[in-house]
Amino acid sequence: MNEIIIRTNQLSKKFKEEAVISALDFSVAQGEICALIGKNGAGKSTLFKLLSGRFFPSAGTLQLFGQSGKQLEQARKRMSFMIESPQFFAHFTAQQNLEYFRIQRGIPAKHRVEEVLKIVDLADQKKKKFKNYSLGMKQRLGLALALLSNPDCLVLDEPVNGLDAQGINKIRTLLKKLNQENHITILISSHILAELQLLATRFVFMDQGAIVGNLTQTEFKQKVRKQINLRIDDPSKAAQLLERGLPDIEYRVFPDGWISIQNHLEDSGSINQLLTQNGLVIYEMRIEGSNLEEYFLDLVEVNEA
Amino acid sequence: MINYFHSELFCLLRNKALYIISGICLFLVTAAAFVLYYSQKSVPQFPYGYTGFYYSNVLSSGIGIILIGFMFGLFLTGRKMDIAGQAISFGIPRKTVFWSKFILSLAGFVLLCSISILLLLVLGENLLNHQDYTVKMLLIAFINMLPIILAGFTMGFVLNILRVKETYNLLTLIIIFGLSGQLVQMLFHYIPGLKQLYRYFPSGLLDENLTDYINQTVSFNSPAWMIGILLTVGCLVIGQQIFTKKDL
Repeated sequence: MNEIIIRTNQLSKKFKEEAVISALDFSVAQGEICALIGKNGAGKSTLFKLLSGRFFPSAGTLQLFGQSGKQLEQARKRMSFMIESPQFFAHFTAQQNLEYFRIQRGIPAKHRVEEVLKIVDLADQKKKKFKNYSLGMKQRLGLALALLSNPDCLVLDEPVNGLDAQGINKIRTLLKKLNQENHITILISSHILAELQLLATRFVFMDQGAIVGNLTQTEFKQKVRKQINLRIDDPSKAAQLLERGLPDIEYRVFPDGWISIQNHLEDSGSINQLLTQNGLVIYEMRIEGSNLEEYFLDLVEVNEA
Repeated sequence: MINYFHSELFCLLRNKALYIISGICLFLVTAAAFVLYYSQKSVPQFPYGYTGFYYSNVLSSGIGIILIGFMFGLFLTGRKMDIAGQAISFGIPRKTVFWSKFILSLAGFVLLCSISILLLLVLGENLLNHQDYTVKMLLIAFINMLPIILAGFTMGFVLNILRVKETYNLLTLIIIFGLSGQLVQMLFHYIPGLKQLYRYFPSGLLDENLTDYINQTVSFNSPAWMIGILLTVGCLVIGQQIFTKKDL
């Protein structure tokens, strides 16, 4: 089993008397791209700030790379955080800003600044002041900072916020590459769930400061994959006909007259024909499936109900 | 700590405001000397063209000097505290952040004060009449001011790093280092045992130092040092305690 990079145990955070994070048990293993999904105010940024040491927990414990307590400061040197909007000196150029952090982090290689600027396509804009950067450029500079110290784990809060489609694509490709080639563990949050669906290997769903769902990409695909749902007057006869006509068919019969067929999605016309030609009445027939966004919204709805 | 210190130095040296404020301070010291010098030359029997008057104007600017120190503290704190959050998330201890910022901004402030005093002496001694005021008297008066200014600088720095709003911060400094003596004097004027209490408050100590200099009776003032050190250490201890436990 892979090493656990991030582990929280009953982690809680209260502001005055309001609990923003409640008894959170959560872990991220080495090599994962874990997507943290939640509405605004779900507690994602607070969790990130707790991980980064900017906030102190009200209760519970936190482990990073197996370290806890005072050792967390050492463990954090192997991580990079980009939380909310990137913070830089407005009157400094991109290069000066990264140079400031390079000195701070004790990175001896001066060329590292140039390298990370190239990675995020800002090398030709390095002399421009941060205050004159567009939102997308600021985000990319934030990513450059996150990569500056060659971390083993990246924690990214809304890293593609403000980027155009091309920029988003580039960041996705970059993060995948970092994960696959450099084995960097990534914990990421974004409101662009379609993007997370393409990127993450695991999804953790948060609502009202608690985890309401946690599943791998494979489990997710299993749960939300497309299927043909049909409501029919005689489901048992339909089942016999389907088995005879399509021997490798995967289906389930439900007591309320519904049959759901998991494969042969492209044969919906033939299935319709097979059943109606054998005298069965189809009341409803539709191809259904959900994406990450729909799955999340359903989950939140159930949780809030 | 050394890496963090270096990075803060990198930031401080590239701060335009540092140079602008330093330039304004040195300009004011120079301009005052030249105004007195030329007035003395052009106005017959001009009464203020002597070192005592020139120096006493600087000695009376205690709160002004503290406010310049407050701005020096702001260069490395203020809005930049979000950037300090980045350092903390990289595992840099909060104590390192606190002390590096304090030491560096204090060093900058001390350097400016030292240059200003040197300039003041060079201009005063070369351009103006001396009367009975000696450089020794001035230096003793500055030594008496030093702990109070340090306390003011420290309090401003601590309030800044703890993200107290700049307006409240300024008001606190003005009240404690500009008005506390007068306020206490008004409050306890009619209570015989506490009548002299105002003399031990920062602004009271600064005022007394100025009066003693003008009267040419200035001598080393140990209460100023005790109160200044007490305030400085108190602010630093409390400030560090709060900062190391504060959500950023």
